[in-house]
Amino acid sequence: METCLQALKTVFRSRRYQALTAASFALFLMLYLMTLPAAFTGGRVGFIALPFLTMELAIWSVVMAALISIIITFVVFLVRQGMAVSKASTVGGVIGGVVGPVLCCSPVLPVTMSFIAGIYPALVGPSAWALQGFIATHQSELFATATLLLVFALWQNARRIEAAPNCAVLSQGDS
Amino acid sequence: MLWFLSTWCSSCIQAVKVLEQRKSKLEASGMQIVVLKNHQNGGYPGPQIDDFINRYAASLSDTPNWMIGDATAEMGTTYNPRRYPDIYFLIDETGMLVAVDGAPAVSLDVIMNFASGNAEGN
Repeated sequence: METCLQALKTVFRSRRYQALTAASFALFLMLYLMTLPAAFTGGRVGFIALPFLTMELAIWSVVMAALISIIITFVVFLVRQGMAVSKASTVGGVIGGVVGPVLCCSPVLPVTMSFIAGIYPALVGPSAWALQGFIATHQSELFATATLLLVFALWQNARRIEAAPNCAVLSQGDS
Repeated sequence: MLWFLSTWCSSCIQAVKVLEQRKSKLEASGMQIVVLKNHQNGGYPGPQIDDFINRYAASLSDTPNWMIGDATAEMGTTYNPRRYPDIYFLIDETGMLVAVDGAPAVSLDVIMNFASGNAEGN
């Protein structure tokens, strides 16, 4: 936690990074708000999903959008510093958060399974068809897992920022 | 309307709630609504269809134009071979298939237009 706060202080010295975080947050908040209710819309995403937004989904959207926007800012900061970044858990977190609701109750999985079953019948057992049911009934757990992955990614990148020689960060025009 | 659903499916829960709100209009239109739980519930356990309806849209269970039951394996193979968790068919009085879709809460306009005799695709 302290590592993350220190990294935030370091990065947010620059207004450009503050702006980047705000812009990323707005973008990802819209993405999550339009995607997370997909379980109620049979996989349809976009403005059509907004009326199906619940308070729980709105909270998950805000939390995941906040985390991903800070991670993006950290990643940009580290890249500009010439440092290595941690991307795997970020990608896992984003995919876990977005793909679950889209797969649940939509035709995507049944069509995919039918296609695979047509080519390799042995690969598609009864458990393959249960995947949608599992996703539908464990949505909160999937969001929590995605959030944990994002928190882990945040911490990993914050640690790298703390280890970076951050005296060289500010460019001309930054305050 | 012939609707195959799985009782674990979130879009199905949403749909029965929305359709319950429109049950008077649907009943007045004379549309018959047949709701069948997918064979083996689409491959994942969930409540029985009666419990599902009673939990999310209790007033539908005694609405005359609603018929609720379980699909046989043969019906599943015939109407829903890909095992969609949520799929419905709008069939007119001559037996013509007018529309196929899922998530009735999202495509409610199509259903209501069909019920009022103005189905899309006619």
